Amino acid sequence: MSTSLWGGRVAYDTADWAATSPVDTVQSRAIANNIAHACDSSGQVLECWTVSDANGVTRSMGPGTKSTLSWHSLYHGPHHTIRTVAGQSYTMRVRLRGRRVAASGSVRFGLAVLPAGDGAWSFPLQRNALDPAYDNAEHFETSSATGAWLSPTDPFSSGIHGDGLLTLSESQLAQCLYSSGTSETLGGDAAFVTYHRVRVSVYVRQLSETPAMTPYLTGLYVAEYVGA
Amino acid sequence: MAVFRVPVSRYAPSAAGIKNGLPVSGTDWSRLAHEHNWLAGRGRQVLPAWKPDHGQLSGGGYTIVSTGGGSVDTPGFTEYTYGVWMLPTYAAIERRWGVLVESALRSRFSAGSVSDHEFSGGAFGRRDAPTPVEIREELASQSSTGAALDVTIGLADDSYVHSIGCYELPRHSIEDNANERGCNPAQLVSGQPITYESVERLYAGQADNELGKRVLNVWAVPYEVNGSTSTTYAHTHTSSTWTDIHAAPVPVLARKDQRSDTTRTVKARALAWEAGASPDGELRLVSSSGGNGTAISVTGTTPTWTSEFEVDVDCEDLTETTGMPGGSWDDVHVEAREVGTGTLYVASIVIYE
Repeated sequence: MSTSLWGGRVAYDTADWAATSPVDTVQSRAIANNIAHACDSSGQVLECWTVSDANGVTRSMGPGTKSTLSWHSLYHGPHHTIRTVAGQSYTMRVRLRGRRVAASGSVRFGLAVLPAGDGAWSFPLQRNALDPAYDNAEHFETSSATGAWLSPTDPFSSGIHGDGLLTLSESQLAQCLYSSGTSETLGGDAAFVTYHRVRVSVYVRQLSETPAMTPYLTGLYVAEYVGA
Repeated sequence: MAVFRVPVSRYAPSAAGIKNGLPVSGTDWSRLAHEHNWLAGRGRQVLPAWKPDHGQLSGGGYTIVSTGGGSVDTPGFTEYTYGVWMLPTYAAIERRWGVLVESALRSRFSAGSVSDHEFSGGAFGRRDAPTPVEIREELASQSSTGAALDVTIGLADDSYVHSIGCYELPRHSIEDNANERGCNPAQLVSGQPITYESVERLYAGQADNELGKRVLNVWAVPYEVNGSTSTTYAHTHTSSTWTDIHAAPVPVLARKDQRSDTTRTVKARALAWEAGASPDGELRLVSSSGGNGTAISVTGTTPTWTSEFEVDVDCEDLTETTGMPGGSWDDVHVEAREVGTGTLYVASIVIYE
């Protein structure tokens, strides 16, 4: 949530902050507000793209009938580092654009933000990625062959989905901690940096066994937001 | 040179206890210093991930090369080069590139100091999907100046490039100098005077609107194949009617600066060029909230980055659950047209604050 006093930066004449000037309470509040607002507003855009219907990410939904009702991996985006406040991630505002090619029926897309660790690729975790009890995923459905930004749904009536917003909880965030070798300064001593690293994944399933459907992911938007 | 740790998470200091007639506690100041160092050393999503708007790309295949004891398969990569405009933060010293390629054979990646990094993306299976690789790029120097960069992906097999993105690695520590602005929390302790020296970096940091700046969208397709300019994947315009480059407008929401602000001007640059007699193309940004931006002219006959062109968009409303004013999406896209008798080609667009 927003942490600044005034929800915006206070413009200040820097000439008032010269080396010989005393630091009074008003200045102190302005500095605290401005730094808090800059941090609040530092959420980044992790994914933002649209492509034409023919160039969407697509895959076969597998042979047979019942298998089409299972979740299939469709897209695992590159890794991102994310912003955090005490305990949890920044909220993520998400949007998904998709379509399906079939004679009839609907597909459901599941968009999840997950730890980017290697172990996260295992199939059980992929299923857990869309656990309705957690708020790190959103669902979108379409029965259209034409690509469009889709409205989020709450298929499990969980009350925490369908708003187009994701948040990683404290325990989920702990799984995102990642350490990497780096340098302390440019060309300087070796050091390790620890940060929160995630990936954006999209899964897809049919909502009926037949007919066979071909899903297309044609747009994605994931952006951090500190929250109201 | 003193260096100060960049926290993993925010300290979220409260200004509520800073009141007239009362001293500002050393703890409050110290937490502000940590918060500032977090912001200054955090890095930026310097390129939001994007899927290039093209279909399958042809690979170079494998050739069998004889050796003394037998033979080896040697990939013959076909190289596709995407142009991007990088907007670095000064404190960044390393980047991480994320690339997702659907390919049965090996691929390779080059950008900046990374040269021909080979990787395997994989293909769709019953329970598998192509997986992204993360590639480390150490920077040769620090800068906050925007600059063009080529990203080249070499393909051995016929492949799909599903995603490219890049973030700056957070710093372990930042230095106490005028550029990185590391602030020393140890100088801000209870019982000690707050001197100008101790808050100098806080002053500079809170006034710097570049910290936390957002890159909003990348649209890029190859403008070179095997090192030669290619128009195969570029958006092509020969009509004087404005035409969208994006397949659909993309969501956009800028940072709010001052409290009363409801909009912010965002900028874009494009990698574009012209061909034919009387070349004269135009590009402009269009947003749902701000309408048509001012058009910029393209007359060069080789791929060249344009200067900035602008449009106003909504800025974040920190009182809204979604951050969007009125809960409504503001979308932006880029339009192009040919006003001469030539052909306008557009291969890359980067939209940023």
